[in-house]
Order: sequence, then structure tokens, then C-alpha cells
Amino acid sequence: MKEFGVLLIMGSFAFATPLMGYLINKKYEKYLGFWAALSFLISIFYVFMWYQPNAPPSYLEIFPSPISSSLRFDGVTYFFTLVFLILGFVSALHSVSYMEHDRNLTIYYTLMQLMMIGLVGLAMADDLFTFFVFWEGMAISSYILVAFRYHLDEPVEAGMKYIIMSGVGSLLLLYGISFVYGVIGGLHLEQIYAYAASLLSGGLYLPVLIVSLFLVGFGIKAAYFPFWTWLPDAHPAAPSPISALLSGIVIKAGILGIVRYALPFILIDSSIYAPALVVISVLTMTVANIIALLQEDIKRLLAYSSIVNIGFILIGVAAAGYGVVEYGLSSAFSHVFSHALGKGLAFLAVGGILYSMETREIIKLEGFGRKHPLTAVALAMALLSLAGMPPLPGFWSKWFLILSALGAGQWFLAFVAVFNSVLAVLYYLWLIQRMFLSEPTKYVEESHEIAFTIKASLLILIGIMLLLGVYPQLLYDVAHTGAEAVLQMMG
Amino acid sequence: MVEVSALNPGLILVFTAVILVVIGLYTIVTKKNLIRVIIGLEIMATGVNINFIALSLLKHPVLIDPTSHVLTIISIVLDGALVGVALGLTLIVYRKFKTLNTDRIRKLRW
Repeated sequence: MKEFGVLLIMGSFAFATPLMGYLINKKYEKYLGFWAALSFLISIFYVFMWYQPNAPPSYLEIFPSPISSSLRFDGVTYFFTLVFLILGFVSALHSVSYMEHDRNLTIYYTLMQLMMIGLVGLAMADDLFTFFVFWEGMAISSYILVAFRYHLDEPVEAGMKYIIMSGVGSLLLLYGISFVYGVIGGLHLEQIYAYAASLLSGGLYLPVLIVSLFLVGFGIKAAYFPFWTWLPDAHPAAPSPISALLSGIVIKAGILGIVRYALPFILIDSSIYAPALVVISVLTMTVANIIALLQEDIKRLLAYSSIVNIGFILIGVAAAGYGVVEYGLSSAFSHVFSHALGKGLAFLAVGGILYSMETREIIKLEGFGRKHPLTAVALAMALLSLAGMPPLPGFWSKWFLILSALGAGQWFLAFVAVFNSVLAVLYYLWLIQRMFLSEPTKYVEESHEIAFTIKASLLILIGIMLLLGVYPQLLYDVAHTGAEAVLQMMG
Repeated sequence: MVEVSALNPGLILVFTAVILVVIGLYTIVTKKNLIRVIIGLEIMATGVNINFIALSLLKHPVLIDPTSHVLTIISIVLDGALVGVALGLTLIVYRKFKTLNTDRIRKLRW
């Protein structure tokens, strides 16, 4: 019961933010970033303090029975809340220096906190009604944050594209929810699982409709194969800490939705949906990797790499769809964690680069590592983790994923995953080589010193990555808590 | 389940909802003007909301189920927020690019 206080803490901090911004001098507005970071830090400790892993899920009713909106706290919530809050904390810390020359910072930090509340609420939602409310809250804040620097051309155009595509996605999701309501008569997770368990393989056309609408609705947010077109524009256009949040955790909200609400329907008949997930995963990884090889803009390259990693996560979900639920979901969740850390660190390091020299072209970054060793090492570590280098968490999660694909009997999927890992190493190593082995360009020579909070945020993420990389049992245990909760619901 | 006759109002509304959603999607995909695209979003949202009420009618023909009605009202509010943000952004797009034609707002590669 006590763990629901996280929402209360984040909510009260978020509502105090505009008040404080109104009261204090505009000169000190940028320090509101510490306020946001403090809220996320307290929430992390709160979750750690009150949640016992493997405890039965606890419930909190928001509205009583006939309307029935409630929250639950189980392993999936624990896992996703932890990932979301860690990345939110470092991004807020990073923003303090990165956004210091922008105006309207009160609005920025309020929206950032509202987006985090939306994300944490998504993980806590017990029924699709509550889920949808938090989903829209998170989505609408992220639209404004992408277009936050509206005096520039790129964020406005990218934000417009994002809002239209994502709006269609939300509406198709709501259409799917309406059919769930029509078929089951309720929107609670237990009711959905009970219905899916009672269903034999006959009369499947309504579940097919629901799963298709869910896969499109969540897919536009998660940006896999046919629906990714907004992502390579929106993620580079946003300010770097917001890119880190979008690439690290907002696209994972789509995965969370699929695992929570589409998986019971997917498990009804593994011969229909699991092959579709395999096809989506293979196409996402391969096509995005090939496009990523051609990029000249560093943030665009990282955005395509996010799409590739969503394809990797879908391997685990597809394996779960084939019946290897426990191991498939554990591996998918561990990749969610390691990709959130890796991509968060990569975008925050690129934020450090932008802070010191204000260019995103890879050619102008040559020799950056000789002038700013810490930022360059952070970027290199993030890229090596994403590539799957052994002492880093990216290696372990990719290892788990490939094993789960083999456990589900999908040799082709495992082969494509290995092939794409190798393909991705090409552009990661090329980037690292440009940063460290070339002579510094004149742009790098003119770059100025990187601020302390940016370095601190990078160091925190490096520390967590090294811890999880050296001690992978921790990564697997946290991810396994999530998979265990799904198994409990399946009964 | 309810006896579904040809004149059941719920069933008629379900088909209306499908038609509205398809019209909305068609508008979003084909129209070039940003305002028309946003109107397409709104038509789609209306269709989805009608679908909720229609399925509630099919499920509970006599009694009124509050879940679907509450969700519909909240979804209308959330749509209002979405369209508010979208129109605000459209205003900025018009000031910047002096056009609302999506073919000419193309500094980024699609």
C-alpha cells in the first residue's frame, strides 16, 4: 500500500514547480532542475524502501466499483518504475546546465515531471482506463517537450509530425480498448487474463482485431517497423536530456503496453501472433540498421540505433509469444534496462558535446576524445554497451535474448539478431574511432569546458552500467521480478 | 449476449463508428493542409467515442454502464488537450514557414 506514495511524491513536487518558478527570480529558474532531480531521487528510495520483490501485488482503488479505476504494484511495476526513475533523475540533473540559456524553464521542468508521472502511472495502472489516462498525459507532455525550442525550424516540424502520428496511434489504441470493453465487459487486467484463459481457439476474430489495434497503437509509440517514421526526426530535434528520456524510456512504454495488455491475447494462439512478432522484429532490426549506416548526424544515428534495439526487445516478446514466457520476458526486460542505460548515457554524452561545441555532424567531431576525455569515454562506453561488448550490460541482455530465441526454437531469429549485432558494431566502432584516433578539428579546438552537472550525470550512469556489467545477476534478477509477475497473473 | 436484431441501435452505432474512423484515417493520410489533418484526428476521435457508447449499449441494453461513459467523457477532455497542443503548434508552423501545406514543410527527410 505504501509504495503508491511514489505518485503522491512526484505529483506534489510537480505541482509545486510552477509555483516556485513564479516566486523565484528568473535568474535562478534553472536550478529547478535540482528540484525535479530530488523528486525522482526520493521516489527511487521510496520504491526501494517499501517494495519487497516477490510479494503479492498490492492494489489501490481510485474510483469505486461501477467506474472501477485502480492501481496495482507488482513486479512489472517495480521494474519499469525503477528504470524510468533512474533515467529521469540523471536527465533532470543533466538539464540544469544543458538548458541554462533557454527561456520558460519552469514550463520545461513541470512538463518533464508530468511526463515522468505519466510513465510511472502507466506502469502502475491496473485497468486500461487508468492506463489510457496516464498514456495521454505522458504523450501530450512529450509532444510539447519535443517542440520545446520552438524558435528553431527543426523541432517545430518534427513535433508536428510526432503529434499527428502519435495522435493516430493513441486513437487506434483507444479503439482497441473499446473492443476489449465490448468483448469482456470490463477493463481490468484480471478480467482480461480470465477471458483469455477461458477462450479456446474457436471464434478468434475479435481477439485478432484487438491485438492488431494494440500492436498498431503501441507500435507507433514503440516505433517498430512500419511505424517508426516520426522517431528519427523527433528524437534528434528534442533537447538532449529529453532525447535521452524519449529514446531511453518513452518508447519502452509501448513495450510495457504490449507485455501487459496484448500478451494475454497473444498467448491464446501462438501460431497466429508470434510469427507476426518475429517478422516485425526481423524487419525492424535489419532495415533500421542499414539506414543507420548512412547517417551523418550523430543524434540521428543514435535514433536509428534505438529502433534497432526495439527490434531486439521484440525478440524476447516473440519468444514469450511462442510459450517461453519466463525466459523470454526476463531477457526482453533486461534489454529494456540495459538499452535505457546505454541509450540514455549516449544521448546525455552527445548533450555534453552539443553543450561544448553546438554541432551534430560526425565529421566535425573528429578528435573530440582528446580534448574532453570524460564525455568521449562515456559515449564510447554507451556505444560499446549497445554494441554488446562483454563487460557491459548490453552484452548480457543480448546474450539472454539470443538464448531465449533459441529456447523458443527460432534459429533464424537468433541468426538475424547476431548478424544485426555485428552490423551495428560497424557504425559504433567507426564513431569511436573518429572520436579518439583522429586529430582534433578546429571546431573541437574552439569548444569550451563541459559543466559539472553534465559530468556528474554521466558518471552516475557509468557507475550503474559498470555495476550491472560486472555483476549481471543483478540485471537478471530485477528483470526476472517483472517476468515473475506476468507469470503469476497467468496463473 | 443480447439478441442482436437488424434494428438494434447499438449495432447501427458500431457501423457508424467504423465509418467515422475510416473517414478520419483517410483524411489524415490524404489531405495536405495541417488544419484538415487535425480535423481528421477529431473525426476519428468522435468515431472511437461513439464506439464505446455503442458497445456499452450492446452489452447492457437496459441498464447504463458508467465505465464506458466516464471513459468517453475523459477521452473527450484528453482529445481537447491533444487538439489544443496540435493547433498551437500549427500556429507556430504557419508563422515560421508561411504555409500549412505539408509538402512544403519539408526541411527534414521523411
